[in-house]
Amino acid sequence: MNDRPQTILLVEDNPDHAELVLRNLECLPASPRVFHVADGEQALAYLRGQGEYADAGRAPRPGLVLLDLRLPRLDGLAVLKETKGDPALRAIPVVILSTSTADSDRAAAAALHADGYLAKPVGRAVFSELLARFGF
Amino acid sequence: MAAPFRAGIRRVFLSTAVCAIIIAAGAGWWPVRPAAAAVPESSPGGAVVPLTAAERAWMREHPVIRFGVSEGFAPFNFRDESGTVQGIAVDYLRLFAAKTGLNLQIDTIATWDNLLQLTEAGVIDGVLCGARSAVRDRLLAFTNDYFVAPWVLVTRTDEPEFQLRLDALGDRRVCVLMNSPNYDRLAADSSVRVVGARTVEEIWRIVSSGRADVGLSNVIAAEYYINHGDITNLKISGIVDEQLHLGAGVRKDWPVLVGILNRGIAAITPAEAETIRTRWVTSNYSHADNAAWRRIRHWVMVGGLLFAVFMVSSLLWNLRLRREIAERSRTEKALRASEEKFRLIAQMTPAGIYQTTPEGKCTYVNDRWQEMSGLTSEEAYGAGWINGIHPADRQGVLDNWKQMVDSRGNWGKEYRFRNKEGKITWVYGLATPERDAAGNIVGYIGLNVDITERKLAEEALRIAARDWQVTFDAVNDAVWLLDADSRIVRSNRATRTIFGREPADVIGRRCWEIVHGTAAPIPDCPVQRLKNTLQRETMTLAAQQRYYQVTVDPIINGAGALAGIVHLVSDITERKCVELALGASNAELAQFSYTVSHDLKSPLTTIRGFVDAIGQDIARQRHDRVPADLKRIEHAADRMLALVNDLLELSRLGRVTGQAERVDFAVLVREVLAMLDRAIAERRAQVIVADGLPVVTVDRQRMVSALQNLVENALKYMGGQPQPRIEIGVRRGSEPVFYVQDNGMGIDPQHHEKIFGIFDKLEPNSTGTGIGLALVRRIIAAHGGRIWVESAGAGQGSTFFFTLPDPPAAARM
Repeated sequence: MNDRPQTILLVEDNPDHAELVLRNLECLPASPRVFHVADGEQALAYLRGQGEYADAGRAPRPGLVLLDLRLPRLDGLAVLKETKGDPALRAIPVVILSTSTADSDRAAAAALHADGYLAKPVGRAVFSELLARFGF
Repeated sequence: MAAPFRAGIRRVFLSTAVCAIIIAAGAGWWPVRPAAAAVPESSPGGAVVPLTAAERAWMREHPVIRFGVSEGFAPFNFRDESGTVQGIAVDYLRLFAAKTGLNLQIDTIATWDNLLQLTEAGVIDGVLCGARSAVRDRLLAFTNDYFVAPWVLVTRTDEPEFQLRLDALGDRRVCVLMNSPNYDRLAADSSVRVVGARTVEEIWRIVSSGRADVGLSNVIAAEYYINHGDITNLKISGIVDEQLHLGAGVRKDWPVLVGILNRGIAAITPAEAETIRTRWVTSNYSHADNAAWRRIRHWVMVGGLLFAVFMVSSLLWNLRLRREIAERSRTEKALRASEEKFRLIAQMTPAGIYQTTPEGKCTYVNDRWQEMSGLTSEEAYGAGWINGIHPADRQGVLDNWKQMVDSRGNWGKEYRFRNKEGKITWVYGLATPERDAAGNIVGYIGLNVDITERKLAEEALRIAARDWQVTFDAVNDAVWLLDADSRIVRSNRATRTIFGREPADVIGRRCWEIVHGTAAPIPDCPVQRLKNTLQRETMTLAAQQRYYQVTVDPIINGAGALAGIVHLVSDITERKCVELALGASNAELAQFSYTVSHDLKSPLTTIRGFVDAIGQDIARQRHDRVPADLKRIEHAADRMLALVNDLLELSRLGRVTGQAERVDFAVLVREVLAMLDRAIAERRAQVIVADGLPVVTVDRQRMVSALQNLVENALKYMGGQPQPRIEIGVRRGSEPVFYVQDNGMGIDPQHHEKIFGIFDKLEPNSTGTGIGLALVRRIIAAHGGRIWVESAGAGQGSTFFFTLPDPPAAARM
């Protein structure tokens, strides 16, 4: 039971969108812990346990990353590329969560080995399935 | 009394003659040999002729060869009472099989037409005992002949002629096997009435029943049928000089088989051939194994031949006499006809004809001459004829005429007649001296040929050529005609504008010398490509800051070969520039629509999401959350509104062209600071305006908008700076560089370009739409300037620099 992943890293610059994700997740039975960062640099710092995220107790390794594409400082595709290119992080599932429905974005995410692509807005039912799929 | 006597004599003559013919022919077609062994029925010992390895291999691949034979062709091939195919062809087939080791079978007996169809269809492999003809040669390859027999003419017994000749059949209808060698020849001769038969036997029936008068076939078949057939009113009435040559015809794709069979034919001994003959040719004149009969036959043959010579000689003599008489009569008739013809020609000729004295006095003109000149014969006589000639040509004609008289030669000249109504007739005039028996010139005979049509056509051609040259030169593209060797044979005036070369100077040069300045064609040369494809080829060239399009088209001659090339070089610089600009504009538009759709969706997602959230708040009795959620919706809607407004502002930059005006930059700065007065006060920022700001030529409203955005941006990104400070000024160098400097949060160098993109913000929590700096860049660019940012990094402040060329490229706004 305790082997199940319990933590999600949400990378989202829009606070309203972040709030909506939290609301959708809070009432699911799995009720994962959600850590929220607002740009690409912070996301990588979290995943690598750097700076303020050096304490693994306060910043545990996530069982899933929900990643927006258009982010300040370092965009989502760059974060994805770094994550999937890093042998230590490669295994962490990354699902893109973007307002974009452009084929070019989907293709770019797939090429960088994203584990899924969700176009906003995303309802609770979809989140429920998503968590089930990644073992929450 | 006399008639029966004559008939009796005739019968005696006839039978003697035919006998002689048949015997003479028989001696020729059939070698007289003692009887030999019977025809071998099979070939247990294998081939007796040597075969090559290839031929043996071919035989292994083709274990059975199936032949057909023609129907109704006894005694060569026919079905006996038991239905078995019998005859000379079958015996030869066995011989071939024995000699070559081939497994040969006859499995079809049919008409020639059917045999050919069956061979073509591959049902049978060939035909035995056949003669070559045009139709048969198309489908069959024939072996050497192995059987030769003379042709004879067969008639009903009531035919009165003694010795019929094929070239003297009169109106007799002759029946021949269709598509046989004789059929080809006779059908082509329109004087002969030919009736076609499908089989040889049908020939006999057609002649017997009176549908034809003469049947043409070989003597063996004729003799056999007359002796054995069921028709009794036929006889042989003549012999044809040529002979029937029979061979085997096999399918064309089997030349090997022809070779093998020819080897077999060569190996047949005279004795073997004689055996076959005695079996099938039963008439008593051809028995050859009796010495006494041979002697008798020899003398009868000699007598017959002498008689035949006599008959032929008298016939030929008669024929010659008749021909001479006919010839003489024809000559007389022709002479009369010729005189009549000449008279008619003189009357009807379209040429003018005249006669003059040795001095040139006219003595005769024909109707046509009068028509051309508009003069009557009376008016033309003497020296009057000159009045019919166009005034402009008169002197030339007279001079020319005088020259002819002096030189006593002939005359030929082109000139014009003009009649009283002014109608012009161009003529080619010929004159030649008329001499008496002593050779003295007694006058001249002349002829005028109307060449008006030709002259008009020449004039039309001249005009067309002129029009073509004018058109050719009017084209703005450099147009050349090349010969098939790529040499320029014509060039138009635009050669000068495009290549700076005189049109005449490039003639004879190869196109690549002029276009590329090379000694050989460049790689991928369109002219070289065209020589392979014979189709239009094109190429785009860039040279000396300009773009050119080369188009080459082939000129194909009547034989389908390349006769020349039309080589066209167009200056497409303008079009190319538009294309490039359009491409850049399209790329920008694609980026714009991508970001716009993305960022406009963002607030909509918020609104949609929180509408759902409020629903859930209410369902779960979390009413406390509702006001905050509504606030979020309100903010998202406001943001959307701001985005749309900014986008409209941005797009307006592409549409509205403001008026450029000269204005002191310091005035613009003061205007902006006044507008931002409250915001500056709220941030407690110190704003410094440097001295020495120049006068600029700008679209005032837009420049204010750009400055406002820059100052707002500085205020917005002050970060935690306790003493915000903004400085606006200019640096003097090769050109004035304006700047707006702050001591705010600064920008990491890696983002220095990104911040000018639409909606690209570095700070997620900042207010604003992310369009501001994009807008500033567009305004500066519209003024022909550049904008960039310098910052040492986070917390180090930022300086935005921009240039404003003077005068600005207002046209680009």
